Amino acid sequence: MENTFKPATIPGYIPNVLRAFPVTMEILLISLLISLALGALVTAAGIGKRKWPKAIAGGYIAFMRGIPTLVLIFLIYLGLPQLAQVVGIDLTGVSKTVFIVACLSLSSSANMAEMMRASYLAVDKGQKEAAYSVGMKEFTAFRRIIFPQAFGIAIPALGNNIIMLFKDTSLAFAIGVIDLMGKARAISSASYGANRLEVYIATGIIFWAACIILEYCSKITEKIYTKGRKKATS
Amino acid sequence: MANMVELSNIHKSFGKNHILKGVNLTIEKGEVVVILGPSGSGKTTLLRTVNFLDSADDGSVAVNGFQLDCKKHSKTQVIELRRKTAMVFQNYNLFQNKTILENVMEGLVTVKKMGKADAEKMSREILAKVGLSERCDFYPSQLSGGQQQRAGIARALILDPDVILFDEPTSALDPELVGEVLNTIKTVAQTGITMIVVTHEISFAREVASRIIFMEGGSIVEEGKPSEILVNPKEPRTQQFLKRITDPQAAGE
Amino acid sequence: MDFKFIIEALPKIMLAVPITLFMSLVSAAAGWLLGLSIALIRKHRVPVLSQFSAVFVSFMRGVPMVILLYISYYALPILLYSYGLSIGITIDINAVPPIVYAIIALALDQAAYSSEIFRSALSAVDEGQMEAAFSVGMTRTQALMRIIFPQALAMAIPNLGGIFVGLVKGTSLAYYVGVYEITATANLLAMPALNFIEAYIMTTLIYEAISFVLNKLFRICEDRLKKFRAGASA
Repeated sequence: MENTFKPATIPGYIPNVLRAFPVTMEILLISLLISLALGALVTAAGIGKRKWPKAIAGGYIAFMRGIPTLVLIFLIYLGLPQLAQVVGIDLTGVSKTVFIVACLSLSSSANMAEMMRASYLAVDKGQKEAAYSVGMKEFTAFRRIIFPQAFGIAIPALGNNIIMLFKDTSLAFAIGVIDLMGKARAISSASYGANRLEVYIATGIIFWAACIILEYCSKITEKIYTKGRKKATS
Repeated sequence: MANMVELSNIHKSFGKNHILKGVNLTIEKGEVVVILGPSGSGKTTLLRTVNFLDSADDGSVAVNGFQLDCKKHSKTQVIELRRKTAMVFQNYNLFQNKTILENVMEGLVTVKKMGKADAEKMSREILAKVGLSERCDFYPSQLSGGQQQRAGIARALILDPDVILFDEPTSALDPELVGEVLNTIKTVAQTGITMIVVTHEISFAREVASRIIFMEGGSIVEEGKPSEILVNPKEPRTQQFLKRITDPQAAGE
Repeated sequence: MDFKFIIEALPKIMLAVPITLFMSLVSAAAGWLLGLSIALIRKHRVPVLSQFSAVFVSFMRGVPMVILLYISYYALPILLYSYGLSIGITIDINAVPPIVYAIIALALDQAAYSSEIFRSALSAVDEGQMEAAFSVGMTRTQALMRIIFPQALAMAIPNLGGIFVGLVKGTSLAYYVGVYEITATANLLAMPALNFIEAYIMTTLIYEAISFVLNKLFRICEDRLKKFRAGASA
């Protein structure tokens, strides 16, 4: 075995891999929106008083947290169409991106729900009582008093969840989507694997840089948002 | 009788704050020394330099003839010095992961290398003396502050130290729990063990102290018997302090 | 549903469970030990090492697992081989099973995440505990081993449980570097007759069962270790 590793060529692959960046971004943003909406729904069911929605929300979160994202992707992309066929629905025309967005939204929504629940519970009970005491209705109290405080508390966890979701988009290649990781695989197989190590390192650097930026944004947002307000944490 | 504790020329700064400005203090065996003074006077820091929880910048500390230069000492020397002393903390600082019994046994087993059976027997006896027989298997978080502090005293006593250091042992307690802890400390004082107590409890000082030291601004201002210091203080700063602490209404004016 | 396939494949997939668990346990053991060292290095601000650790942690948190696996899989053989040459032996790279590379990547990932957990747990232990240990004459090592670490561990356990379940899920990616753990085995078995739905439902159930048991185990650990907080009002 010969050492064919050429570190100097790594930067050259970065622009090439980056061409798939819009695909990754598209997957990330759509999944993020859906997972937030889904997460909010699950949280509402989870903190509500009705027994069945509560149980379903709990089961949903436990299920999503127990299954590897890769397995979920295989289950839905390879398994679901087979199942649908049995009941006469044809899913073969659905694009791969839709599948990957569906999978990532599902798996991330459980994390989002956990985050929302924890932040909601972290807001002091007295806040709600105070809002009622000045005559606010339940929804007004939530929108004007509880939510703004819970949001401040949630920012760090939200940042983490977005980073996790972003990293998980790298699994889109598993079903052949040409995202960052898919592009990396394509470049490396075009050279029959000769430059694969350099390409993967280049891709790793792209992810790393993007995560540093995301983390920075999350910190800045938290700083701006909680400025002048009661320190939310600890 | 030889001196039990000797502090010479103790200097200590935190950053730009010169907390202790060359303190000299000699304590004989069996003395109960109470240190009084306003907050920020350096009394707690002085106590903590005795067992090197705060290492002084200059000077020397000696406990029962074992002398350490504050500038030049090894880790093993510090540990040896600490094994001659014991401390009771303001916030009790009981080991949170151990039961009351284990808290008291801990020093015997890990430091004095005593067998567990003997250590347990001794610990139960001493816990009985401070009135905690029933609480041996509880964790600190399950006890009241007063009970925790009595356990803290037992943890210090069992090591049979040459001197026990009390750092404001009742300051963190609810008022109704102060009495039980002070009574325990009084009982300890009667055994003849050498004690240094930092406190704000004047009446306690009057009852148990063999000597009172008044500190302010990092130096000892005045010292003497309780009957002298508390009744006829010579220094105006001592007079002021005593007036403020015994007559709270005067403090505001 | 092809029940014949299920009956035949299930035992074969089950045989891969120990491989998944083995990978997870070894990675966690090695990773957490390294993570604790990193936490101590960063807490005491050891020069050079602590800066290096910070970059390492950031990199590991920023790069998706699948890329780390690829980098480990393609880079380590080169490193190993050239190291062999430098000491004058020719190492047969092909004799190293791929699971080794997977474990190294997973362990480094665990080291990064656990170091953050240990760091916050250590700083959460009250300073007075160390002072009290000193006051009864303990050495620093005795204080750390008997007083500080047990308390920090109790605080770290819930989060360690979280990253361990994440690790077990993450081992499914070792499929891409040729480790025949649960997911890879299921894939292999499903391929010939396209029994995807059956294979992935089984896989899902197995992962769910593992997660369930692990969550239970960590909950028990947590209760055991936290018994001393029984009276504390959380």
